[in-house]
Amino acid sequence: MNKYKTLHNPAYLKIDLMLNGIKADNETIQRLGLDLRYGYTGVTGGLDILLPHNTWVNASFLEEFAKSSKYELVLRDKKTFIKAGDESVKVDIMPKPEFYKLSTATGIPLSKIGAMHGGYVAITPDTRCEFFNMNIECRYCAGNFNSGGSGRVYTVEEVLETVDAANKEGKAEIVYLSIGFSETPDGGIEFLKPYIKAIKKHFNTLVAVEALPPKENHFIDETYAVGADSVLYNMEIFDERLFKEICPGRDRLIGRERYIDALKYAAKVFPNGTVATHLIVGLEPAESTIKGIDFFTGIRVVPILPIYRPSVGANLLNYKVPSLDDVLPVYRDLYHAVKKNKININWVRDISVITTPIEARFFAKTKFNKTLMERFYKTKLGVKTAWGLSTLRRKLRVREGGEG
Amino acid sequence: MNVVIDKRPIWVILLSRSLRPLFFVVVAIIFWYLVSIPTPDGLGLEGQRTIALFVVCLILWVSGVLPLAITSLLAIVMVPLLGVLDKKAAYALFGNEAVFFILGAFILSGAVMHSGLAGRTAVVIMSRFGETPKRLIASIFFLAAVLSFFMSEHAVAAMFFPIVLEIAKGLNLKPGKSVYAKSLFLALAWGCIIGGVATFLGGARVPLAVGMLKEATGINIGFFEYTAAAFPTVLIMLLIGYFMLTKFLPSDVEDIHKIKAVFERKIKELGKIGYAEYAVGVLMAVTIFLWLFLGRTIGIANIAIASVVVLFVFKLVRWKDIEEYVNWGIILMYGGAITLGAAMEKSGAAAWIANTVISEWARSPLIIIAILSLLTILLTEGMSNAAVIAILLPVGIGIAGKFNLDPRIITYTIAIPAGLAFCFPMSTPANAIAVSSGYVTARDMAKAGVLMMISAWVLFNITVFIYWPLIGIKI
Amino acid sequence: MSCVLLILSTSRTSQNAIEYAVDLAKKGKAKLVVLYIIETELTNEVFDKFTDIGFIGDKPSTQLTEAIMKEYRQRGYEEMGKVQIRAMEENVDFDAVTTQGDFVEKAIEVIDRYKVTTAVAIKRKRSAFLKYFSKSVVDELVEKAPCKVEVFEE
Repeated sequence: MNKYKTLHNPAYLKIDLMLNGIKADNETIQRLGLDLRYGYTGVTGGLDILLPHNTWVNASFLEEFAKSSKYELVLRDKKTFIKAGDESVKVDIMPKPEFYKLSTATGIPLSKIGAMHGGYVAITPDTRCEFFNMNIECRYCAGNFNSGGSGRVYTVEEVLETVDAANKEGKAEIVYLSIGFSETPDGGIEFLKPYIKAIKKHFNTLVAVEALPPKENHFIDETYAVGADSVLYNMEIFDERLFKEICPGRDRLIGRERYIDALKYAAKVFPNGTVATHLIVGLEPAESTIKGIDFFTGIRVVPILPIYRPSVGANLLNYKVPSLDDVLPVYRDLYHAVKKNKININWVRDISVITTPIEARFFAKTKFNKTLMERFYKTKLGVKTAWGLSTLRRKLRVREGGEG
Repeated sequence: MNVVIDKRPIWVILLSRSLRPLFFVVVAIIFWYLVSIPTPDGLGLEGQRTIALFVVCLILWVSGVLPLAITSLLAIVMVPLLGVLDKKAAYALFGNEAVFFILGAFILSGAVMHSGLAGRTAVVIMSRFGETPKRLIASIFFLAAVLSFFMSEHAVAAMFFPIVLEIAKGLNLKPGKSVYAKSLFLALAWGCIIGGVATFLGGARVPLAVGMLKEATGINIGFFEYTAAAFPTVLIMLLIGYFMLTKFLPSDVEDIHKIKAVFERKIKELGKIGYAEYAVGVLMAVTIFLWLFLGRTIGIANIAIASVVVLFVFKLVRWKDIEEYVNWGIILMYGGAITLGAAMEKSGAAAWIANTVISEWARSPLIIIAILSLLTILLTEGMSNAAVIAILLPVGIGIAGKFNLDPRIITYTIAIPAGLAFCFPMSTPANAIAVSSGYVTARDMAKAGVLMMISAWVLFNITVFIYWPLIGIKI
Repeated sequence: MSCVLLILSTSRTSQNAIEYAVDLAKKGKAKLVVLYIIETELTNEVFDKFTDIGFIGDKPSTQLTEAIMKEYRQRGYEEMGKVQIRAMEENVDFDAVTTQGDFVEKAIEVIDRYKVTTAVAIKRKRSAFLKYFSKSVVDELVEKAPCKVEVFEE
């Protein structure tokens, strides 16, 4: 069990916690002051824990499977530890943000609009995904897109109120905007444009956009020009056959090739290390994910590797949770691949629900020391610098008007 | 939203973006150097500062880094700031008669365009005379020239372009290949260029030159006087142009019968001639008559502005139309150029340059005219006609003073060749339009243009030598 | 199925290139895509000239630019029509794209989109003087394109 000394390696620990959750008894929950009314269940609803080496993890603790986890959350002298067997490691619990308790002027709880994940506030202004209406939704998806706001589209003002509240708490280093599939050629960017513009106008924050690959590349240019600092077109599955099977909508209406082309093009437009795609670990053989990692890093796209945890409602309930042994080669390859292709790994970081390349270095038998740049980007000045550099780059690269 | 992402390496973008600020820094250093070096003998401090400003404006006008009008505004601001003229005098120069004449002429030209009169005249005459390939070329060429006697040559080029394009398409001519199409578009460009130097109306550069002369020396040149001096050059250049168009670019089209239908459709589209067209036509005729024969007594600017008032009295145009048809920015250019010219003269800078720099090569008045006209015709190929005048005329007037030449001669020597830019698309809008059609390539234009340019220079100097003494211009 | 791309533009058309591209597509049983790029540099230059040094206002300048653009577009349709007819005669699968903007960038975009195997481009004859001082866009395309580019000198 302790083959990998998981407790003392933050990345091993993160993955194990993501796979298996953590035990926490009622007394601990009470003593930690967790208010269970504010979404602690679901795909991204677990407990945000800050592990050593500044590694964020979102660990389930209310779900059934968490009760059999080998990890346990314990409190000693007002300090929090994760205990496994006789050993323990000190961690910090990130309390749910205060703004979760607030509502917009229109009466919508901000916790419904924005979700904090590490240093990100994630917002999905329109929670509908047309794949569901056509019965070609991604098979692992539990319909969280459809359930989030019962079809309600949040207005720009409501989203701004949410970002403002998060910002006041100092928790909106990056605003992560996402959108489900709609049958438009722009991949959703036309819908997101007013949100991006408004956020950029009012806050000095970085904006990441998760959309669908648009039919034409000029929409990618516009995504960058309008203010997105990072873009994600999530292919989810690299294997061609499994992509067809698991993501029928993406396959039929967008196509695997278009994902690749759009990402390739976006990598030429956006800064190094800011174009990313999710490859879900465990839904395809490890070799296939590794192929995907090698391919995407080769075209300067950052592979982000979430681990699939089955949720009620998803079609893949018979899915077997992979073991640490299964996923380890994948993460090891991730770090080497990004390093080999000189991809900047300072952008995609501090996300609790996925494993980032920066964390993958803990699998790669290198020292745990943070690089100077990494340390710098953690500081307040570093965050401001990242924003400033990103804005300057956009000013230099974007020429408005062009040809009529 | 229409955006282009510059995907070059960031250092290349940074370098290309920093070239512009760097350019201004260099210009500022040149200015600072010129004002801080010890004042040369025979030149006052004001003269030295004016020369520094003149060099800055020259660099900016030639490079085109700033719009011409903005460089002129810089000149207006700097003249009083450098203590060359006081504020009141500097800004008063902007209210010069020439500026108001240009303003009035632009508005009248806009009214002619807006009324549709010019377009109708063009279509009707072409349909009547353009029955053979040669005659069609002749009608486009001479018509563009004659219209440019009476209204802005650029307006004529813009108005003719769609018509000539339809002719080329109607004849099924191949862009870039058909020789006849090349002559059609060159006829349009050359007609406008040559016709544009005939009177004060073709291009605002002539009134600009006349205004600069008046502010610097108090000498005036009348509408008729100028036309009399320029006309032989125009007339003979038109003949040379026609010869080149028909002999050097022999028609590869025999039958242009199909074009008749194009003209008929155009005439049908225009409908009956309306009240506004008649009235604008009559008003233009009366205005030109007054400019020619009563310009000296009433004042050409007064006539122009009075005609503009009449336009509005009879509701022939609305202000909104005029706003859209006049390039207001360029009027600022003229005001600034006149102010700078006056400052050059009054500070003694022009005379100093003439004495020290030019006296080396200036042996006789004819050599001066030959060299100045050559310099003008070469410069105007690469930059705006008006900017050439703004740069060369102040120095030219200085030269006239040194060699006891009539400054009017120098004004003609610069104002007439300044309009004759035949070689490149960037030389003048008429050329740019011709090349943009795709029927004439830049290479075609340069080849034929060089011949026209040489002819123009030789012809101009022959006119100076033989014809000018006949009309009382003594060299 | 392989794909042949024929790149035409306002100033780059050639009957020989059209014939060659159709033939190439037919022999290789490939799809023929025609890209027509409307060059806007000249229209922009005309407009700039009028607004900077011209004696006429905004409206005639805009009308003029629009007239030029309309003409360019029409020429594009005519050229593509020609290729389409040839493709139909030879039973070659055909597709057409019209766009405006940077020559190299737009060409590469279409090459990527259609997974083009061979591109056919037309190079204008240039004087030795110009060749010495500036690289032609077609040369740039040959360097940057992810596929084979065959060049026709006009």
